[in-house]
Amino acid sequence: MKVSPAEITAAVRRAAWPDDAGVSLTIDRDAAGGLNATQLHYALSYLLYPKQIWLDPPPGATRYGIVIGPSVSASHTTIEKVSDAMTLVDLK
Amino acid sequence: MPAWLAILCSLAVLLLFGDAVTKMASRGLRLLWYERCALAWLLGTGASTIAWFLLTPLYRWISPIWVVTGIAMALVFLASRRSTRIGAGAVGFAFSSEAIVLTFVLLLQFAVLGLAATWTTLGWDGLFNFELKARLAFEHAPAGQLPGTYFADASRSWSHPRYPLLVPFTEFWIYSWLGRIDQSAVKIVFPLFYVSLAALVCGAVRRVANLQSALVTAIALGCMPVLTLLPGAASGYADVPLAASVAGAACFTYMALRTRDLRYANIATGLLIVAVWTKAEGVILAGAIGLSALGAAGTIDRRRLSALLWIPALALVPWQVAIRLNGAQPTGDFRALTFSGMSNVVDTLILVWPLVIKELMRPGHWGLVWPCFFASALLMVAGRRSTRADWFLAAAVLIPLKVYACMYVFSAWPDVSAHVGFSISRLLVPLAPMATFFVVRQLVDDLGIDTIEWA
Repeated sequence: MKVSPAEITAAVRRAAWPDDAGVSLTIDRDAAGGLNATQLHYALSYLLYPKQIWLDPPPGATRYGIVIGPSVSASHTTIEKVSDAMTLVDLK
Repeated sequence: MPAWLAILCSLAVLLLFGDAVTKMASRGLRLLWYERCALAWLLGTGASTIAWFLLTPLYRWISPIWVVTGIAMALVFLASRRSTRIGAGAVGFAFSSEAIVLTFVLLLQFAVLGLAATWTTLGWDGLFNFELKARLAFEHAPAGQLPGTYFADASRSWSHPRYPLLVPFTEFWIYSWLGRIDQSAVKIVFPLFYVSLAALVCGAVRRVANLQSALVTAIALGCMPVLTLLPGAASGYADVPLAASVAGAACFTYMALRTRDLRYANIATGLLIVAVWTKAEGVILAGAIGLSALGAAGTIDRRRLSALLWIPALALVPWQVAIRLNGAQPTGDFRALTFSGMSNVVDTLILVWPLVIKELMRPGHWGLVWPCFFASALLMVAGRRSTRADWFLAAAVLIPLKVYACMYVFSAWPDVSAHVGFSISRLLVPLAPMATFFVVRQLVDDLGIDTIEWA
């Protein structure tokens, strides 16, 4: 997965998520390259502060999502395509 | 202001602050020049961190740069007016040819470490545990305050919100002087912690042996990759800063027990305050040093020596109050021991101890330090010619070692052996310099090394 921090922050800015947005992180292991879920979680939490990034979100904590991988669930609405492997989605 | 000048100014304020604290704590005690520099750095970062943290409410009106610099300069003024001066070391610059070669090798090690630190990026924990907090404090409005919401944020409990703030503050301090975030610039502080560690251990050996032994010991520390690379001084982790303050405290406590001069214990107490503000396990290490010192005190005034225990504990109270008031999240690495969990205690210990012993015997991490430590301890017991100060040193290493091995009983990781593998080398970093000093101390007797006693 090749995407720069600047590309991610710019896409999130365009998506206009609120500062305190709860964001669930869904990862397709094959698409994550050499990074594991923990690494991606920490890195995105660092980068997108103060948004709350969750790997296992508590019920009702998230309205937005970051999907790493090719498949976006039919229940999600794509908001921004950051790269071939990363998509910002609306969970509603 | 050019970046290099801003960094120099930021470091100078910390060093001046620390030198003033050293002057006040040492009360005329003779210190070697490199010990004084190391103490200035360690006590300077510690005192600045506590001052910064306690005065957080003021940052609405005045920048932390001015607040901390103002306090530092006031203390420099006060210290300069006191009649007590730090005595110069009895041994000056009379270098033999061997000492010149060894000094050159040591300086070369420092230079390589400095380059390695500046040419590499911050390590994993360096970025996500420590630099993250520095960045939050720098970007917060007003600058210098950590946002209260961060502590209670369960989605960021992985970033150890309960860890004390010495390393994040030191990084924030550099950002404040630079006026921007620069993750490369903050890496300068970690080699300084390592040099302080080497200087304090070198000074302790110098007091019980000769200059060559002291230099060889400092070089030996640099040959342990765990101290220099990962999670060492090049990584941006807090383990080497913790090791510097803890090893320094153990060395000065040793001198207090050996000479019965409790001014050494004052300095050790200051270093233990720095330790408990550096990392959570600083509390365990400070407790082990304090208890070992009391156990080895003999006829020395235990009431005064008990300051090693209660003053660091008292110094940490504001931080403990703050994390409780803000509802800081635990990391979830450990769980409370329950009755159902009790049945697994023996199984866990049987699993953990071989892993700990395997790590201790790993030459790629520690060279021969740990085998030598255990051999020296056995010889000390068998030889029956040890002093109370020697027993203190052995206990200050062995108590935390046992506590660490038993702590994994509370591990919340599904695979305890993975938890041990991930963390044990870091836990040993602060203990290795103390173990090295113990080995050298025993060797001085066993090999009959010339001792120029002056402490």
